[in-house]
Amino acid sequence: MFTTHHITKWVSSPAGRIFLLRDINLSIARGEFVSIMGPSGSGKSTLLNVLGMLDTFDEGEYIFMEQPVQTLKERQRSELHKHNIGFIFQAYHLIDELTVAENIEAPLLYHGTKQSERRAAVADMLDRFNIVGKKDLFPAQLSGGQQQLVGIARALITRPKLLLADEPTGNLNSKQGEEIMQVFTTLNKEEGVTVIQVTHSEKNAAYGNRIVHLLDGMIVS
Amino acid sequence: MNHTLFPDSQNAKHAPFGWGSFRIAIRNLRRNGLYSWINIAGMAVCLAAVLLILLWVNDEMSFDKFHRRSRDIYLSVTSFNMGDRQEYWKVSSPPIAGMAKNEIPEVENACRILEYWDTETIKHGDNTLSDVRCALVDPSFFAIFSFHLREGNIHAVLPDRNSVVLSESAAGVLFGNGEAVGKTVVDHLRREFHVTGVMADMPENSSNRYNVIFSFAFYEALTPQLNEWWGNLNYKTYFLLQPGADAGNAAQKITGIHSRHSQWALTYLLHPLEKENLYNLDGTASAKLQACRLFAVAVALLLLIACINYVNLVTARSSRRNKEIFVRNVLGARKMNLFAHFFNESLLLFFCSLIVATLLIYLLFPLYNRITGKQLEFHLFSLSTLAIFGLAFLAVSLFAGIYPALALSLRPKTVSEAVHGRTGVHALVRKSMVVMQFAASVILIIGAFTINRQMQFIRLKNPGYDKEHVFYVGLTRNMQTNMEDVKTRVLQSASVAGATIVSQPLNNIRQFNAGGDWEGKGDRQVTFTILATDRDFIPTMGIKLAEGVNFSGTPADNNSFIINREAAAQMGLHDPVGKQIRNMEGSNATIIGVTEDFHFTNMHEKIGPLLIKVNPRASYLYVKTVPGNAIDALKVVENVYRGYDPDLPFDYSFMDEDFDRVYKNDIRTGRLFNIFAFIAILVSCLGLFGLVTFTAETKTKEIGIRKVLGASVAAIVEMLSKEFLILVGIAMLIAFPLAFYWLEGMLQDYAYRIDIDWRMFALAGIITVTLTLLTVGWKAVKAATANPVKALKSE
Repeated sequence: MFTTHHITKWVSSPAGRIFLLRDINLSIARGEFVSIMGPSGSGKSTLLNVLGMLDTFDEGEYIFMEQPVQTLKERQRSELHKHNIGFIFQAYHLIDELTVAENIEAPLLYHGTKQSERRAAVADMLDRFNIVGKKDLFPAQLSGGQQQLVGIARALITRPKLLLADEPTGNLNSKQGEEIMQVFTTLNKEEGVTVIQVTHSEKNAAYGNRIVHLLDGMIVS
Repeated sequence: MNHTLFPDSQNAKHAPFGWGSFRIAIRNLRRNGLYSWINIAGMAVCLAAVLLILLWVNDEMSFDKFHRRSRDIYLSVTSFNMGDRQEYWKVSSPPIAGMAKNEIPEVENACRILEYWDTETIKHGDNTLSDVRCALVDPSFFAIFSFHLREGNIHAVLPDRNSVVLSESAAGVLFGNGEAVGKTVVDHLRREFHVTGVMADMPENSSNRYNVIFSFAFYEALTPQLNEWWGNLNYKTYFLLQPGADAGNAAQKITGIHSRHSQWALTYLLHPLEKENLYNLDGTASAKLQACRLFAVAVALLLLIACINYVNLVTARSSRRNKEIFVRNVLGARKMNLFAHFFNESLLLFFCSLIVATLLIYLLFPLYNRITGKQLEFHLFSLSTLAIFGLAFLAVSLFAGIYPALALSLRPKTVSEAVHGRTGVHALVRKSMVVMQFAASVILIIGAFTINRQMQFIRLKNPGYDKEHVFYVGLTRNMQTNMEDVKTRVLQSASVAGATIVSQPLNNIRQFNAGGDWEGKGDRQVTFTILATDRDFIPTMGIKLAEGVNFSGTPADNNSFIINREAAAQMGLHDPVGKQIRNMEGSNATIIGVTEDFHFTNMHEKIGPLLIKVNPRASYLYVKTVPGNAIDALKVVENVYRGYDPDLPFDYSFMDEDFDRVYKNDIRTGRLFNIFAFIAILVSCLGLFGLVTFTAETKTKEIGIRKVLGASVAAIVEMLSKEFLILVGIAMLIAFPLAFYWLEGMLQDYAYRIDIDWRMFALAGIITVTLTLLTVGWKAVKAATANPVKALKSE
């Protein structure tokens, strides 16, 4: 899927550089389910953002599906991201002004998908996550677990090859968390979607087939 | 599963631009009710005001352009040197029109118009037309101007000297629905005229507006030597030039004709008819154009304020929108998509405002016409209205586009940026906008004060005579021939304190005489305004004599002049009393007195040289009443009047009321400007209210924590309002010099002007700060007194 070589990211401060990521070498194959673990401030989210092309890095190489990301123009990077990556956030980040159905539909608008196809895809997603009855509600009217399901449905609607999840269960209770993990596992096993999740929970991390430990911006195991 | 989730999405490819995003925009407007209403109300009020102003300006600009050949019509202007300055008059010598037409190839046609004439009423049977605005014109009048003839022969509208053409409404008064052409009408001097045509009423936006048109030939017959009278400037003359002819060239040739026939060094200029309304004869901006320019400033500032309101209220909420932008970005939105998304919101807001503004305009239009004294009409779908709306839309979308552009350039790229916001730059922009907005408001307020003060200054300026308790009556011919008797009978009344007769209304004397000769004249060219009156004039009107004596009431008066100080100065006489003046007819007269300068025309104009002579026959009787007995005095005069001419309407005017009429344009301009300044500050405060509401909302948690830590209400109010007060303070610092510079320039246009007064600035400052405190304070106190536990719980 992708490989990184010596990725390093820092911010400058009067006291010198503060390293957020240091010498990250990571190679992930298609179809893997990877969990990134580490204490707060160890750079998990930063790494995920870099991998998802939401953030830049200062040194190193990032080869995503044979393309060197650091040399791409913003436009190309955005296209690459748009067609291949789905993102799920701890705080869901649904658009408050849109209904459930509209939230799920939003990415397709930016993909230029035809109206009839959009309609079918959204109906499919609603059905799949059992939220058909909620389609006209606004995010504020849903529970956290339901909001995260909408977040996942939205991430999946473009059929991404890589799903990046930043503590997807962080705001959920354990039962809701388990449901989400089941969803990820099914996606990974049955549809071959590559999943990378950041998590604090050993239990959730165990759903993956590989765990990467991060400490102070470096991979420790 | 067959869900119709988005039944109204029309076009997938362009969905972000289409109805779907509009629907979301509507939802956003609804959800943020308070902000939306502040935005729409502010924008709508400003748009309505802007549209009303622009309609007014448009009307002024449209003057005289309805003539088919308006571009080729020129008013002949006479210009001559008068002591230290150049004079420009809109009247010409009588012979110049005909000669120029014959001799100069560029001149296609010419027409003389005599505007001041003594017809007061026109009668037909029992019907009387008392509102006579008459002119005596050459037959070419209807060929040059496109005033529509409803009835009559277009090729011979005024076939002989007793012809008269009536306007439709004048004909209506005299003949009802009956036929007018061919009938005979009589004026108040029992002169008979036959109606040879009926013309459409002259449009409101015509500089020349008459309802009765006589033939110039009638006047020519009364004044046989008229066409040799080169120094007699009394006739408005229009030239129709060949299309594309060079007006400057033609004017030179006209001047050439004049100098062949007259010693008087006079220059002829051609003033385009289309410029008559907005430009003075010397090419400078007229009071109307000045008002237009003032209002243009008001329009620009109001639009600015409305747009800033919009941008501010939207950016204020940007921390919330930041997340949305970020999420949309992650979902693959491109800049264009985001831009369209926000632009649609602006568009929707603008259209809501447009609807409200249109309603407001319809509602306010009658009132507006009353204030402006115009008969404007508002047609929503007229070209000019749509053009104005279009213009406003361009201005608004340009401004409203700033926010999307800003939001995009600062688009958060990472999660943390989205959540914590990069509001620093937004806040700076927002603050600068508030500063701009309040600076604009302060400028308008100071402008309104200054303009009103200036108008008031002119209005209340001592004209140099007593205008209180004085009324005047136009005299009939019978009365004019029995002047002594009239005066004696009027003065017998105990209610009358004094009476005098004068040749023309005292606030608008327009009879001129160039030339004359006196000892030490040298090259001086002095053009006198001539006032014919009697010996009671100076005491009755309370005019002060600076030197010499008043007329004595003896035959010696016929050989005496009294002049004003300005005349003495221009004539170069240091000790004028006793000096001789030889007048144009060649007879000699002695200067017996010098008056202090007093205003005998519009007080916008500089006082010119005046020559007062005695004439026992004059057209107006001025009566000064004993204070409190005006009604009695009026009755006395009316009885005398009826004694001579029982059939004629008795019409009188009080001088102070007359004054107000003359200055009603000034009063209107001032009043309109007040209204616009008020709207400006209102809308600015509306925006400020939105901002402070937002600040209070975002700081709910902070306020709660501070209160728990022991902060007083006052401390929290201060925390919330200090920032805004500082901004308003900066706004004033910017506004003061700008306003000073602008007003200093504007006041230069007035002959008599006030000095710019620091107190007006102080007052504007106080008003602004007070309104800011009220706006911000109310909300701040509300936020500060809220229960802190509630605030903290909701987080």
